[in-house]
Order: sequence, then C-alpha cells, then structure tokens
Amino acid sequence: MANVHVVVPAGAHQTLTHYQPEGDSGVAYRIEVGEGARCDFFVLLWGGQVTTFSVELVLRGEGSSVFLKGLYSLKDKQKVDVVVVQRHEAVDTRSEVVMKGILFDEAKAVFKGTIAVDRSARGTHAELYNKNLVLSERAAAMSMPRLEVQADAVHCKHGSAVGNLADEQLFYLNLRGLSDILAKNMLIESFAGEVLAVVPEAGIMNQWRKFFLL
Amino acid sequence: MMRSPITKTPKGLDRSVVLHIAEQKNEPGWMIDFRLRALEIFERMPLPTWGADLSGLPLHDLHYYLKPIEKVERSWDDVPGDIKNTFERLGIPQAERAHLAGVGAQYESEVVYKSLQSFWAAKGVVFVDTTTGMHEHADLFKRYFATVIPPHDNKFAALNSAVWSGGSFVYVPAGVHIDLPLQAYFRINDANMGQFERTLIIAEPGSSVHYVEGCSAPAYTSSSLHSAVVELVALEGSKIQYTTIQNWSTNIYNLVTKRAVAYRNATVAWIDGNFGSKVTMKYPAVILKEPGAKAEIISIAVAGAGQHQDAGGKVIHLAPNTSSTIVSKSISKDGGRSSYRGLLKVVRGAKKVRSRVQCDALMMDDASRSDTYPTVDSAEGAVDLGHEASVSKLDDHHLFYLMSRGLQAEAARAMVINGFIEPLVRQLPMEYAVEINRLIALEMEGSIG
Repeated sequence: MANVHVVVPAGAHQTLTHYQPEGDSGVAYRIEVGEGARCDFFVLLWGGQVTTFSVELVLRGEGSSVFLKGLYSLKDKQKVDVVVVQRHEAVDTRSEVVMKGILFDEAKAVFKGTIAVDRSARGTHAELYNKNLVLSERAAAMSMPRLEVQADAVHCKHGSAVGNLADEQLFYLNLRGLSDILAKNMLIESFAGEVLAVVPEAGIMNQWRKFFLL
Repeated sequence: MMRSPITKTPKGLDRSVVLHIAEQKNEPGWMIDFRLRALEIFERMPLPTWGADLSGLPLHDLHYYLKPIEKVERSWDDVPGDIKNTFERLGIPQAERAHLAGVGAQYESEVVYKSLQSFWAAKGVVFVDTTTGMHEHADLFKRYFATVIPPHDNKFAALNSAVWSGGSFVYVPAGVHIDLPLQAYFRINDANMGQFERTLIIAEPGSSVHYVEGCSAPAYTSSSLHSAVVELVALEGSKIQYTTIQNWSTNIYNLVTKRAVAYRNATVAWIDGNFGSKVTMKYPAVILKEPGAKAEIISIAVAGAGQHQDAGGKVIHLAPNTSSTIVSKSISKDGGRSSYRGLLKVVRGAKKVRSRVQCDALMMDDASRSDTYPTVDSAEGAVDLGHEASVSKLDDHHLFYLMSRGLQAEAARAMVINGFIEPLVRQLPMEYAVEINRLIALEMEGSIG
C-alpha cells in the first residue's frame, strides 16, 4: 500500500494525476492545501482485480480549494474500493469532488465519501458527487456519501446515483439511425467524458476506449 | 384485568419483572415464552455504538413496568413555569394541561383511552390496545406479531419484546377505507419510567388507514427510556400512513424500531416528526416485498441544546417495479446535533426500481452540528436510484426579501423555516399542522440565524 503526502504551498496551483491502468494496487493520498492555493486532482482507476484508493483532502489554509475528478471503470469480476475525505479546516475554502464509475459484467464498487467541516470553517463550499453507471444486471455498486458539518455559514451538498443507460436516450439515438452498440458507446463515452475530457494527459481517451467500449 | 398491590416493579430488569408483567396481563403461554427468550437476547446483545451516544442510558436504574391504580397527588403549583408557558404557546386546551403536567390521574404503561366510533366497528375495524388484541383476536395477532421485527433485530427490539406494555392493535378488513385518522396518546409521568409500547397494524387487501401518534411529556431531571416497536403489515393494494409527532422532554432516550412490510401494489408512508428527547434513534423502514409496492418516508428533526436527533429511513427493495422516496429535513440550533442515517438497498433481480432520497439540513448557528450518513447499496443494474443532500443556513437573500416587504426578522425566519418543513406539515391532520407551526415558532424564538 503506497502512501503519498502532498503539500500545496500558499498561493500555488498544483495539478496531480493518478492513473492506474492495470495491476492491483492500494494507494492512500493525503493532500494539504495552503492559504489561497488550489489543487486539481484527476484520478483514473481501471484494470486491477482489486483496487483500493483513498484520498484525504485537507483544506488547511484560508481560501484554499480542491477540485477532484475521478473515474473508475471495471469489467469482469473487478472490484474497487474508493474513499474520499474532504476536510475543511479554514475559512472560505472550497472543494468539489466528482467521482464517477462505470461497471460492466460482475464488477463491484464501493464508494465512501465524507465532507467534514470544522466549526471554524465558515464560508465553506463543498460538493461531492458519486455517480455509477451500471451496465449489467450482475454488477453492484454501494455508495455512502457522508456529511459532518459543524459550521453554519456553509454550502454543502452531495449526491449519489446508481442507474443504467436511459431508455429514452437510447431510443432517440436509434431513431437517428445508430445501432444499439453505437448508441450505447456514445452514451457511455459521454458519461465518462465529464472526467476524461478534462484529464491533462493526451491519449487517455483512446486508451480507455480500447478497454471499455463495446 | 387483574389488580395487584404492586404499583411498579423494582428498578432493573430480570425474569421476575418479565413474569410479573405477563401475569398482570394474564398472558398465554406462548407470549410468556416469547418475552423470556427476548430477555435472554437483550442481556446478550451489546449496546450499539454506531449511532448516538448511549453511554448515559441508565438501564439498571429504571422501572420497567408501572400500572396505574391510584391518583398521585401533585399540585398544579409544582409544575415548572416553562412547561406551563409551553402549553400556553402551543394552545393546548385547558382540560388537557393538568393531565399533561402529571397533575391528577396517572396513565403509565396502560392504554387508558381509545375510542372507536361505532360506525367503524360495524365495518369490522379493530382498534384496541395491544393486550386486548392479543386476547380477543388471538389468531390474527399471533399470525403477524413479531414477524416484521423479531426480538433479535437489535438490542432495543429485544428489550421491548421482553417488557412491552400498551400500544395499539389495528386491523382493517379488506376494502375498508378509514377516512378519519386513528389517534393514540402516550404519557410518561413518573421519574425513571420506561415506556415500551408495542403497536401492530394489519391492513387487509385494498384497505387504507391513517394512524397518528403524538407524544408529549413534562420534563424530569433523571433520564427515562422510550423504546417502542411498531410493526405494519400492508397487504396487497392497501395503504397505511403512520404519523408520529414526538416531543418528549429533553431527558428522555427515544430508541424506537419501526418497520413495515408492503406487499403487491401496497403503499406505506411514514411521517416522522422528532422535536424532543435527549437522544432519538429512529429509522422507520419499509420492506418492499412484492412488485408495485411503494414507500414514502418523510422525516423532520429539530435538535436544540443538548439534543441529538439521529433519525432517517430505510427502504429495502426486494421486488422489481417498486419505488420509494425519502425526504428528510433537519434543523440544528443552540448546539444541537441532528443526523440523518439511511439505507436504500436493492437486491439482485429487483429490476426497474426507482428511488429518490433527499436530505436537507438547516444549521442555525455554528455551535450546532449536522451529519448525513446515507448508504445506497444496489446489487442490480437495471435501476434508477438517486440521493442528494445539502447543508446550509437560512439564506440571507430570502430573509432580506421578506423583510423588505415589511416582515420583522423573526417572522421572516419563521416563514422561511415553515417553508423548509412544508413537505412534512402538508401530510398532517390540521390540528397537528397548527401545533407544529407553533412549536417551530417557539423553538426558533431567540435563535440567531
């Protein structure tokens, strides 16, 4: 299990990426963001039989912010366990976490997210979203987004969803002449696109397509 | 009913207490065995540590059964001023105040008053206390009793199973619709008393019933325990709505297990208002057992100084084409803590399940705390499940808008808060809705916010 500790100094803007295209792995990140600093973190997990990923985002400095966009894509009997903690310890801090999952076959995903806001962290703006696209009947997703808020002048939200492709959307594309496979691929890609399109590494989209599209 | 010179059992719980309760009620052998087995389970199980802090619960220091026989002399002058003031503000009728304050006749652990209009009785509706139900409708009672919540479900279900007393037994025959809500009242009047009512509601196919319970209790210094069990059986095509407004005084531990089973095309709605108690742990649940079943859970919790409301809802989808909604609204103020804890579970094979969970929390100041602990657990892909939650304080823009139209700050706050809890209040019978609005106004007075 690898431990990675990142400190983003005051005023800095750091972009981090974590790509896990194959192999089992366990990694735990702790990212501390200083005053007025910003961290963008892109996380892609796929390929491992059992993957554990955890990240603690600590908004330590006033006015600091963190934006995390992640995607886990699983096939066969792969499993992933993701833990994200957004810890707001200072005034006027902001964190936005979007963690999406795509599950095929008999894959299983467990997501545990926590937004924890200290009493002193007034002006916090925190969001956490976990959306799981489950593409087969035997896949399973468990999502536990938690909120623990001790300051009042805050805006905190979270949401989670589990579902498969919308029938109306497939129908619309069929009507325009697209086959089922093409239509599904298009919708799956657009779901993943929210994360993949903004990942800074070129070619990731192509790599991912090779693995996952039908 | 047998009379006994013992008015209450000594403090603490053992076989003799359980046997005394069974003897008082002249219970059949199977119920005595059930209670004794439950006592063993209770003694074996540890206290849950995942929820609110139960370390202050004085389990060995409670009286577990109390039977009213004499009036207890207590004078109206002894009733604390703030309690009298609360009655005034809530508009409680004069006749009820003495009763609520514990002046006059006592009503411990026995259901004293239920009235069922003869009109409904003629249709075969049964609405009696649980002990009467056990004696007079034995087959029906035994068929469903403890089938929704067995004693080993959790430590407090085991406790209730061992020492239950009071509660309602409701049976609605097929096709019968009860328009007026059935109501019940509970009282805790003596220091160190426990309250363990057990309610069972059976709705036959195509029937509907709305049951309302509203509790209130005067304040005492030593902790008390309220550990009820409510089981609902909604057979095919029936509808059961169960509304609770809880305003226990702030020394009471309110640890309740409520669960319903909904069969084909049946609907169960839990409307849960938690305003009082020191600690509440309550997660009304619905098991959607057959296709077409629906669950609706609306929960509101207001936590003030020294309170922890740990409430929420659970829905378990066991069949395809079932749907559910959970709406939870909570307000924390003056250092109170309010937590939403919920479960949305879908088993494999339960296709075309739709569910929405929405939890919103209002924090009135930064001494308070708000938590959300939801779990979405799906083993089936062909579903549509969504959960969202938010925590914030009163929007300054909303307040400014209202104040610029001439409302005072407090009236503006009360209006915004009433709008916040409207999904719940809309479902209540009118007299409860009025009481809730007044209660909110009372609670919000003087809060910063």
